Amino acid sequence: MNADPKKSSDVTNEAEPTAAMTAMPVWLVALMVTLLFLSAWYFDLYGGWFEPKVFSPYVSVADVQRFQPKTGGIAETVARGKKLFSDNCAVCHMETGVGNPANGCPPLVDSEWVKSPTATRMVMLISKGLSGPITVNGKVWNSGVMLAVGDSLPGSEAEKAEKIAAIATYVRFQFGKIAVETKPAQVEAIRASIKDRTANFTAEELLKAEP
Amino acid sequence: MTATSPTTPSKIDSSCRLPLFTLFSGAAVWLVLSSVFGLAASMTFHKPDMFADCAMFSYGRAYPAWSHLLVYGFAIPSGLGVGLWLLARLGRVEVAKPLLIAVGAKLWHLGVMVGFVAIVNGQTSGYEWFELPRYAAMILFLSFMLMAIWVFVTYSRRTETALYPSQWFTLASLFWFPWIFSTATLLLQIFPVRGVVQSSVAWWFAGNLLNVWLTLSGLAATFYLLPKLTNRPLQSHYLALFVFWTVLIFGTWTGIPMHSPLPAWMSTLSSAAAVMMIVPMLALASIVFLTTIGAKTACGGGSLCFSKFGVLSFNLATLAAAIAACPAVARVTDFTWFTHGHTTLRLYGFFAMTMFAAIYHILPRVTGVEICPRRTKSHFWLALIGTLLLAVPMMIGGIKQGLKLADVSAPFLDSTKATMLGFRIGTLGEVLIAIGALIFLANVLLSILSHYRAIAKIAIADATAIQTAEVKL
Amino acid sequence: MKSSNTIFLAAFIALSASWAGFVLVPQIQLGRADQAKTIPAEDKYPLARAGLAAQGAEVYRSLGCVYCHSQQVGQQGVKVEVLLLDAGTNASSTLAAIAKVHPELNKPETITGLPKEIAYVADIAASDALVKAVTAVGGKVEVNVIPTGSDISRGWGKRRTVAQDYIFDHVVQPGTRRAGPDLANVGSRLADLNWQLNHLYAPKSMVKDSTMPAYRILFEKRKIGKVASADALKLTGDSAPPPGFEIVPTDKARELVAYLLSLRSDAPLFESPVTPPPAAAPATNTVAAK
Repeated sequence: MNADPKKSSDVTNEAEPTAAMTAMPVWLVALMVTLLFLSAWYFDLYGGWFEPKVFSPYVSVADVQRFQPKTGGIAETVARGKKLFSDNCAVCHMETGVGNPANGCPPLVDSEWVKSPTATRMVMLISKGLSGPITVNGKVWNSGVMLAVGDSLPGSEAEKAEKIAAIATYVRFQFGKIAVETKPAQVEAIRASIKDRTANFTAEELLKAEP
Repeated sequence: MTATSPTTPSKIDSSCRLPLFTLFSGAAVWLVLSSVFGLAASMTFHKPDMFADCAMFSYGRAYPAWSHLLVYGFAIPSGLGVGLWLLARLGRVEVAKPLLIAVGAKLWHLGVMVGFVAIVNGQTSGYEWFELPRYAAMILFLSFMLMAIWVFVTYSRRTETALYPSQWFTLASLFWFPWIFSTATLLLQIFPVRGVVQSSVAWWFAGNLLNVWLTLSGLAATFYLLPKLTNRPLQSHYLALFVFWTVLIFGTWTGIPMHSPLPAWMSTLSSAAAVMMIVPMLALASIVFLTTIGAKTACGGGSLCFSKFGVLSFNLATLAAAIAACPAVARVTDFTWFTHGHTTLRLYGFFAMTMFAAIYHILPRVTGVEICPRRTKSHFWLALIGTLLLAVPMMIGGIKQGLKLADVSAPFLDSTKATMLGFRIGTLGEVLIAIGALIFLANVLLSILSHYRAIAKIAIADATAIQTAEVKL
Repeated sequence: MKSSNTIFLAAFIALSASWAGFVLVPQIQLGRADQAKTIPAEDKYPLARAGLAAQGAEVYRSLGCVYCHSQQVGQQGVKVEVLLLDAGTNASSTLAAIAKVHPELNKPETITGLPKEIAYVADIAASDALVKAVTAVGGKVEVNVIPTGSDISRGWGKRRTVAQDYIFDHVVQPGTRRAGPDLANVGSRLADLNWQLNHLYAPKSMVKDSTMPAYRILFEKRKIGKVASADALKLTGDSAPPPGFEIVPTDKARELVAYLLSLRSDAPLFESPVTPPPAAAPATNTVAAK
């Protein structure tokens, strides 16, 4: 290796580079403007205009909206009912609807009371509660009392009816496999006919109302 | 400006000596170490179980160690060193506080080492191109600020007031790094933001680091070296200005991949910006063409060769990134080795080559000792062939991989097999790059060493002269 | 450019614009996201990772899994499928009703082999006419939203992943490369704990020709004591330990697998609609409450 400091002339005395002041080529500016225009067009088509809820391949909120599942319908009511059920009923009947023998709560799963043709006696039962013996799936339950859960739900009469309808829909759908929605109007009519009653129902009374 | 006698280039060069020695020697060491980890990572694809019992070299740690050392270990210190020298030379001013800058450089290298040790021990942050843990990030930030302040003071004391394009690029790079790095450190590691905002910040950071910072710092050197070495004026001031503005305005929006869990507007904007980078790319091509055409300088494996190949790689990498940003192409190339291919081309082909060019130009001036042209020439060919063998097969392999991924009738493993040839050639490229890096390290260290040897010789000669004089007395 | 002020101003304008765009605005739009409701079931989504899985996320980060595995599903399009479940009591009148809306479906195959998809339409609204026509004559149909794309065809997910899927991750690792398959839904795709453990220890023993490195560092090879460990891996062939030894997963391996099994992002959301697969049929057996 060459250890000697070799100071060549261009190393010690050198001029710094300069920049010529030639004009800018126009084609570059034209190209930039064209590309900018195309980019803006592209952004307009696919960019979703800064919407945080728009992800490719969707291009706008309206586009995302086109693929939203239909709300209304039984699925929504079932979802609502599921929440209300776990807040108000699951304490005794359990989330899975298997009941709780220790407290004298009969099961709901496949119960003939749940699978009745219309929801009339279920709405009555939920509204005013039940006392006395009741036979579920061939077994007699006699040690518990169901409170008037429906009456004690918060809200106006219309809201109560709507909530009871959701619970009934969910219970019948989930535990009775009956995919028929119980309408709030139907519940309101039933509740209007029993609105002055304060005592719990008994099983016989319910069977009389809807055999 | 004080009315002291005008400073000379050699005085300026010697004022740069201490910081440049520290920055460049450290950078060269990290480059060698980084290529070792790059090689280890690449070996994993030939023999997956090679490092099954050795966590340090397992792919998930070797790869971040490679990228960390390459970017923070090699790229940033060498870019800073070159920028410092350019600002001093072009401003015709001696470096302010060279000792403090050297201390900052030492601190920087310490931070890089802390980050490296943390990464291979599994303290990776988990963000690509920002792998270092926060304690290392804080060291890096402080040391960068320490250096940048004195580099800026040097610039502000300049005696030559007319500004040359290289100065714009260097100054903008000094401003860019602290902003993006502090944002990333604060929002990813100190007060982490929620969910995909992290990804957005990390990608913004990576885009600004790779597509803006490296470009600014590299082009500062290119715009100095090309006219200087061909002995012609830069063609032209306005084109360089145009490159400057377009790189800043468009480059800063690149970085978010087409496929990401971010809202559509972000990736759309980012891919448009990547396509817009064609504009500065073409402007740069015309600058280089107009400046060097008809120049009689043969490059002979020296700085000019490195610099020209750097520009070529920049253009190829930018073009590849722009094409890969088009939605129809991105569908194939996203998630493949194609991205890695053109990023490697940018790092090794453009930035590292440009830095080699600048360092081989600067070091002899600072040390007063020529670097053996045979060694720079062999480094040039190794680096050139190595980079091409690494980047091009990766890009081709990436396209093949992407086509297999898009073809759902092909099992997933077919997409991995499609890249195997690329890896075989790529590993060869890594080997050449590693040997090249070793030669670079030897060149830098020998150059520094011979400077001190020359000084020692002069001192001995002086002492002998005094002794002889005394004997005569 | 004559003065340094212009340079700094240029840099400031350019960088602050992109900073506002890719740091500030995303933070405003997504930075305070909280659990959202799935559609239509209204469950809260996502749930935060618990205990072991949360620790596993750290192992995943520490091992650098992100350099080979992405955690995001892409989507190229979406289709709306009309599924005919039941043609009703009078099949020919159902067919007539269908044909009135979609004349090209007027062929006997349409109502045989049910349930089957009879039409793909542009969007939900476009399915209305068909649904009305069929239900009016006593048939039953279902309208399903089905995202499409190569990732989804590969079974890597049911829909594209969106910002909501990641809100509780600290190091969000969507990944940019697929040297290995996507893991966004690996918890539902490959939900077998033992498969995962064996695969980490010796990938080739579970996936022939796999290029994944073995992660033996996550396992302990030890001499079988008086009684073999209950949790030792059941390995055969090349990867089996020598006789008298057993391979036992370390805590890190368990955490990592718990994390992998927790990876799942297919809940239907507003911004990424999808019809969920039919829920498991409600329990039929009367679980004896004894």
